Amino acid sequence: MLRDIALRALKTAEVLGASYAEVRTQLFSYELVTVDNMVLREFSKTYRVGLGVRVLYNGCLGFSSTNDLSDDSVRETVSRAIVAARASKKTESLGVREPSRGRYVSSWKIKPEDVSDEAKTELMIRVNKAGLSVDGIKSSVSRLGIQHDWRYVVSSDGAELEYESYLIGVAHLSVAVESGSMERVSNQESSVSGWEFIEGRDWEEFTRSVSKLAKEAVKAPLPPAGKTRVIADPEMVGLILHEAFGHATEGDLVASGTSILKNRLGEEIASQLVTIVDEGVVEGGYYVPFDDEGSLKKKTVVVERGILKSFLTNRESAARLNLPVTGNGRAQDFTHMPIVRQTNFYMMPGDWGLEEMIKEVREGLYLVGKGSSGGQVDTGAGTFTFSAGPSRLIRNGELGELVRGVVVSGSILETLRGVEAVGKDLRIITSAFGGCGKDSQMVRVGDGGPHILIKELIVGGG
Amino acid sequence: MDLEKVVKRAIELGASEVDVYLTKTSETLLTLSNVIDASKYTKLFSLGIRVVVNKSVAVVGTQDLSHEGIEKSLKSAISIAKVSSPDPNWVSMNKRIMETKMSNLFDKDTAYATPEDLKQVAMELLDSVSEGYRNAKPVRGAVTARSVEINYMSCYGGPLTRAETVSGLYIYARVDEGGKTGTFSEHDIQRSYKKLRARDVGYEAGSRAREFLEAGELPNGMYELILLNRVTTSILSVMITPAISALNVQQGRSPLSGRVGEEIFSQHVNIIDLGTSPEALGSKPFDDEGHPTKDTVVFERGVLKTYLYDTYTALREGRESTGNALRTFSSAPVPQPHHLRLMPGKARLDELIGETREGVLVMDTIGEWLSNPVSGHLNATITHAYLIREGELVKPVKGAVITSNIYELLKHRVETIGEDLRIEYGISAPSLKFGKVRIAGT
Repeated sequence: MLRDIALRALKTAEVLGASYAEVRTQLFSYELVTVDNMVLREFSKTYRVGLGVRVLYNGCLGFSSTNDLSDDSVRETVSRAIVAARASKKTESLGVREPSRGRYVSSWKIKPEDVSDEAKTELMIRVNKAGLSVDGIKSSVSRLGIQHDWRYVVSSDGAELEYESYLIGVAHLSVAVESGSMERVSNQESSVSGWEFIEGRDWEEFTRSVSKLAKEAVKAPLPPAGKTRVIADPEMVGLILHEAFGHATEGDLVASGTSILKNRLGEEIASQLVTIVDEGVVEGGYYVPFDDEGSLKKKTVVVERGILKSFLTNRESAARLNLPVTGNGRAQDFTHMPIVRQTNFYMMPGDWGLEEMIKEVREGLYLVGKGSSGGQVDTGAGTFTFSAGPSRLIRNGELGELVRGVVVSGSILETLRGVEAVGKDLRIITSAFGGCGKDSQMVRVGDGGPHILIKELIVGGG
Repeated sequence: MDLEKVVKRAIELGASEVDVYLTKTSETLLTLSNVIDASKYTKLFSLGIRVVVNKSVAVVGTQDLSHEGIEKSLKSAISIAKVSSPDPNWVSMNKRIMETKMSNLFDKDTAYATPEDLKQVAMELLDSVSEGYRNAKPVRGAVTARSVEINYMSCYGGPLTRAETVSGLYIYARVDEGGKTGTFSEHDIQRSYKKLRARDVGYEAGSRAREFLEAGELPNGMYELILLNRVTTSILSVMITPAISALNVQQGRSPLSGRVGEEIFSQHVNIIDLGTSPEALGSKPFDDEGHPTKDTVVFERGVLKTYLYDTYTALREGRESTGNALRTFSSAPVPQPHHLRLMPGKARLDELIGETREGVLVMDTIGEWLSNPVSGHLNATITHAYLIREGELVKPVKGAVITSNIYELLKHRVETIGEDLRIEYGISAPSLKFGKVRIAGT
């Protein structure tokens, strides 16, 4: 039925004079089970269904959306998109892409909805109890998140694509208290899979390990403040890349002049050890076979051996920059216009072992991603910041004591130029609990890489 | 939609308690670069259903408001509640269903603002950037007008209805000269789009972007610190909002647990949650479980007077809710401020600067939300600031990290409180001047 509604809306847009139209329909659900200090605090389910219409009318873009799917409302939504286009100023074309048709499905064995609510609740209470059983832990919150997303895109230039995917994960937060001091540590593991991902892991061990880390961190000092040489683990590399660099490669920011990378294609902007890609479907990452403009998302090489090769684009920014469409036009849901977003953004591995890197650094900081709460960048000023979880000092070529409250900041380009070694490991992760925010839209992403050694970052410590 | 029918149906299906929360949102949004890039209109209906069966609580949120969609959600909620384990802390839903009298939350012109209406505001905003400095260009921005109507009903009463409008704009300006780049962003938020200060915002962004062309590095060290009002608001909402929520207190996640009556902050610090003041964006006649709102003094002369409660947390302590239940359509209510205000003092910003010997005036930060409200550890990365020497702004600086503890700052270091209240949605605060604070720079 949602396909028929979309096709009817597309026809209406053409009749009303749109030179281009794309219509998206979506059926989305999210299930969240929260256990707080062994009490089931929340078991919620969210269902979203609706339609978004984007038109190019007299060379201007307009968008409108609704979840009232009656015939009258759908017609009104299309005409509101055209009214909206009249208020836009710019006369612009859209980047050309090969219109594709197809159906994509992520892989799963056990549908999460086939597992009883009772089993989900019991599991999470057991998992939460394990986290709370560690001595010194005063508070413990465990969450199970299950997302199901079906998206359908049809456009007047011939694209017709649909996908269905599941994303599932467990998150845990532990608060430790010791001699009047409090510290929290959180961690999550998620996967584009079915319930088999939950069955295949020891989640009690997972929450106990978070609690043990919180217990150790509450006694830990802050790191020394100032500039230092660091090794970042794969989770931190993912964060640094996503925040410090990924946003600056987003074509809309480049075209509008908000990115420090404007006019730098072909330039050496990073150490020669650095190769970075954005890929729609990859092991460990989120599932983006195509974007919300109906363009396939393939592997985009953004940096190759230090040279800036490509920006991420949607159709609008591709036209403005005169670059190919890379399939990065993503929308949070049917109520939003697609804007340029990363999918799975990661660094390719090199040939260093972790031990070798630690010896090489001698004195510095080993940044650990587990327990990090994320990061942020000012792409114009070129400044980024992110938090690490409890991390370790490096002393005399060995891992030393634990430090907490680690926040690092640096300049985008100096950091990438300062990559002195790239590890041979590779890990990409995603999350069923968070994502990346831009222009008031949140989308799921994946990121990661190998361990890397960075010449210097500013550490905000004590 | 007939909420009463939904409530009755839930009881028929076996709910011992039920409440329904319907939101109708419409929004017109223009997105900007150096011109109006695109325009969008969204209309959305969302229904939240909360049911209790034998002390087990379930919430289902749906945007499928067809008869079948609602029936499916109701059955799903009941079936979750029936199989879930009971919450031993559950007493009941709110039974005091009523509202505080309030007006001026809703502006009809804003609720029905067309893209054409907002276009006038957007053009003024874009044009005024170059008035701030001739080479300044707007590179990214937005103008929005939104109206939200909430309908609430439960097995204990209702329906109650409230509606509000909010309109906002922001602009990010950039100057490129001599191989250097300066940037600055500014924003405004009002009940009515007609009150948006487009010209002032554009001018400020353009002229500041020029000044930050010359931004240098800040050496590592101890500095007197002035947080501009907009920076104060974002730091307070990250650090104080979670700490005063009774839920975090009861669950052992707040550093303020068990400290009512203690002097937490300097006696210059007064913080109030404004539930009933139309000018304080976020104020509303009833909270998201139908309880009347009120103004609640949280810190008086630095002393913690109370936490903020919803019905669940209040009944756990055998007391009355402060009317602070907030929810989205798909989640259970939790206690949160409506509009937290750090009360202004008497000093003008230029007086704060004038009394500073060697310090930093922080204009904008990123990553302050990465700070830790459980330990109180504050981190904020400065993207725009001025170095102050002997009471004068001497040069723009960027790229350093403020690192401190919010409780230490607001108890022992705060020296002067500004008069310049900045009102955001849900929070307002003036600029603050502190004694020496560690800043991690180059």
